[in-house]
Amino acid sequence: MNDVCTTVGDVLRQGMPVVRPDAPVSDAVRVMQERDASGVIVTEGDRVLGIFTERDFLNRVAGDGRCPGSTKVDEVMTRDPDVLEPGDCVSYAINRMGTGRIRNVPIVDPTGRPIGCLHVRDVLGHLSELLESFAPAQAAVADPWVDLGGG
Amino acid sequence: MDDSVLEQVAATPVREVARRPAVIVEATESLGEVVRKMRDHQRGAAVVRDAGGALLGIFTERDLMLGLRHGDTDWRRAPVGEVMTRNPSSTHADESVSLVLQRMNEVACRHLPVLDASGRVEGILSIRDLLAHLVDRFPQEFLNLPPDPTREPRARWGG
Repeated sequence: MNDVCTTVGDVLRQGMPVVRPDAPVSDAVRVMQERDASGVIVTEGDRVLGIFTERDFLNRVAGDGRCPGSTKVDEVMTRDPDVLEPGDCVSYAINRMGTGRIRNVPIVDPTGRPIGCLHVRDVLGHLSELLESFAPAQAAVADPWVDLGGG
Repeated sequence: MDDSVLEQVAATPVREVARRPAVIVEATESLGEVVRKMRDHQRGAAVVRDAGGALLGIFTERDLMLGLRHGDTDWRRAPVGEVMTRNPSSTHADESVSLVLQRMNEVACRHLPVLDASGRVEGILSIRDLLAHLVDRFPQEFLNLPPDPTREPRARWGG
């Protein structure tokens, strides 16, 4: 990339974290843990109904005193999220993630069928690679937690 | 995109990246209170420091989601020091954006405590702060995208 015209499909990871709307939140948590994802897409058939993220867990589950085992995902998800397609420029995602409170975006094919979820960590990896080639010759500042030895 | 601008962004020190106010707590604070502060301030992490300002750990919304038995309501009374990630990776005001992005990528984290010259906690740097900085430095690439009605948000984007 020399630039941000890299597409969503270029940085999207394999696999798609999904749950059904009537699943308990604890199922969504398990999927996020197994897939190392920060959000899951809530689907019904080939339709995206919503998205449920770690932030939703903070705000609407733990923050609201709800029990993950007895709360259904569709009670606490973000409904009808806007989506992106694999051919879209990743800069759309960077814009929303940088200016809003969004860190996960469902990715769909032209028919609207979900095919993946773009997480902010995917964008992070891409940007890290991009800027690494421009990094100044710089040693990391000494981590105070590292024992430098000596007497 | 202009390579010289990318080079400048890569070399930008952390101190020049605008950061939102951090949630900074002590290890004895209850999880219930820490979660309330994170929610009220809309932050995904709380930095834990001792009375002298030294970094002790970090507690994130992912720790909240994965690290606690939520079926047991007593979790709210537990001190955050019992469940935080101890000795987390951190950064300093002089480190470059490129180095910080690499570190976040390597340790798979979205938040890094920021330490001052004497090693005391002064805040948190999040991936969102870094992305906002990029968007601000590349307005033409990020804020003036070609209009496309099929790509404009009809509702809240993502989650």
